[in-house]
Amino acid sequence: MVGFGPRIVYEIPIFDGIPLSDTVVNTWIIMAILITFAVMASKRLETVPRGFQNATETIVEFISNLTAQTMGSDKLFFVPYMGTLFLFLVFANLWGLIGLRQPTADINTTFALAILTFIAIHFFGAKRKGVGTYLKGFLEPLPFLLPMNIMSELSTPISLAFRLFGNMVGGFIIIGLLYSALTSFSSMIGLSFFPILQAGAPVFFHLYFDLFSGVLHSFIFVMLSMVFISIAMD
Amino acid sequence: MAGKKGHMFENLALISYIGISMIVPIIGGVYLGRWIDSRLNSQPIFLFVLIIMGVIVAFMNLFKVATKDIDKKKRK
Repeated sequence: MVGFGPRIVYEIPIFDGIPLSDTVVNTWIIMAILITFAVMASKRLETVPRGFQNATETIVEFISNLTAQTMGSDKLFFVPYMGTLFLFLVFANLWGLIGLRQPTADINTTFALAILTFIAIHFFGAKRKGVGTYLKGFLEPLPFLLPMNIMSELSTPISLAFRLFGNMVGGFIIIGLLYSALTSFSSMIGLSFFPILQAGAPVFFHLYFDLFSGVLHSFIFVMLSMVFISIAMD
Repeated sequence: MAGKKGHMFENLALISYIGISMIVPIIGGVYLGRWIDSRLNSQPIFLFVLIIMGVIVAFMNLFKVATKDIDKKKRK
């Protein structure tokens, strides 16, 4: 039985070989889909939207309203970042529906996204408040709490990354185990030529672990990013 | 001023964050303390110090999440 970690699918033959895991390949495919979508959606924009442009404007409006409600209307310049994060996470978490490994079931992807949020929290916090006030915030309420304040700030991206990773990899492992169990069960009752069990039985688990949990956790990740950035800036 | 609907989702996301935000500093303290102890051969001083610090940080995180909205009202 193979493990549940990301597999190396290809090795680029330069510098002693750069390994490419399936996480990276799936991320590239999602990037290609999103970039194509963005280029197609922003071409030929009309004042009165029709068809495809209508659907795109609904997405943009949803993210813009969410950002304005959560962060306040003075921080609307975060809409592109939050929108990208949300669309990427939704695509990445739903990737399990087509039977491939979710990029978010790899700690590297979730940690990279959490570090982006972490940098945004501290960069925009320092920019809005001024570097002096921002650094003084670490000494509050009492100066000897400095190491604890630093630990508290460092725990934010770790919590963000691990909760998304944990939920996604948990769903991925349960669904992988379910498929292998159903395969051995159907060969036991002599149905190995006709995979009826694998086709029908996991639907509920896909609905919960991929659709419900995936969309919910991308939403929570984006929401928490918004809340932390706006707390740091206010 | 945030709308009511946005506030609900925001608070739900924060509630689901409370649990993990309390456990991460404590486990981080355990690992960091064990690592420093193995480097300095000073078992178990740093382990205990960092676990206690982790517990304090866990409560600080909880306090920050819980008083997020109260602070805002005071400033206004």
